[in-house]
Amino acid sequence: MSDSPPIGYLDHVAFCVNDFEAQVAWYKQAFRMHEGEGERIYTDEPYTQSALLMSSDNGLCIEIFERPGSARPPSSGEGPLEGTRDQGFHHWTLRVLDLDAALAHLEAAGAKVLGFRGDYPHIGARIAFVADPEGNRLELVQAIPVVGHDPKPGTLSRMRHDQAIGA
Amino acid sequence: MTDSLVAGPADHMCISVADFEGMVKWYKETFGLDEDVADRFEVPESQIKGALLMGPNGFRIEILWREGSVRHSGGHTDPVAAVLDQGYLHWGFLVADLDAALVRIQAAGAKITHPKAEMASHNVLFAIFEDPEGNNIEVIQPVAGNQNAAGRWSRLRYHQGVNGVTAELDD
Repeated sequence: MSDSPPIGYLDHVAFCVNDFEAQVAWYKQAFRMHEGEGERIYTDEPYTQSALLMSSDNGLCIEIFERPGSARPPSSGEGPLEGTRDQGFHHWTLRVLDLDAALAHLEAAGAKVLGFRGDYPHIGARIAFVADPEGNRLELVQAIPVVGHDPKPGTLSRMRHDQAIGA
Repeated sequence: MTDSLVAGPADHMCISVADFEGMVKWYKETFGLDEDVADRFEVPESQIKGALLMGPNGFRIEILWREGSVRHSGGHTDPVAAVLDQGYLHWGFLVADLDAALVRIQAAGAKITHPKAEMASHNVLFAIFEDPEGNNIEVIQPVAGNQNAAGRWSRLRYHQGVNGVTAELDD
């Protein structure tokens, strides 16, 4: 398009958590993220703290907030299907090279594997959903060969195929 | 486990919405996203519809709709109060020109909930707005200047902005 879109690259995803130190430690361990010096921010009135975690080798970036008195809103369920009953953020999706290995690692770290695990060759994706220790949904996607698509495959399969072959 | 558990920056974000066509249109226009018809899908037995929208740099937004869905959170009047709801809080995007982005965002009818401000400690300008259904989105412009800024954040953003997807921490 001729006019440059004003919204660029995804920088980070932010969560508000119940147990700040536990969630910071979990994301560091589960996703090999680290916390840079000076990246914790504290504010008063109301007291809030946040930490920014990132992964040095792929640009993944998470911001974690804590505010006393926060609560988790009601939900229709933690699974991806039940979760569609709740408007708002549903999940974020991370690309992995080896879904089985990633799931084994995350499960050992305390993640809960949710439904919808399987191969979806028409979109070139092997997919699983997990919940972090506080129930935030993440989707993991491994690119697999696209099967049975028409000659003009969709953006999803193109992207995943390109990523699978290292483009 | 190797360092390559995660193969890149986030692939996409997904939101569940009340107004499917309205939100698809809004995100397409406001974010400059394309939609490939191959990426619309339906799950008729659950009365679910979905669309994947993709930006010119490859980032995608998935929009889901389900008959009878409800919003539990939200209704907060500012991003500080929104922290009272545990769970996903916001997503942040890099922009090259925050002023231009805010003009476009406001023209699209979004409510700016945190005006443009500088966080010199991190070498960024930022603002926060809500999409038409109240989801919080942050926009961030990296700026130069403070040599003592928290290094990883600002450098990472600078590299992402310049290179697209590659992040090299140069400390």
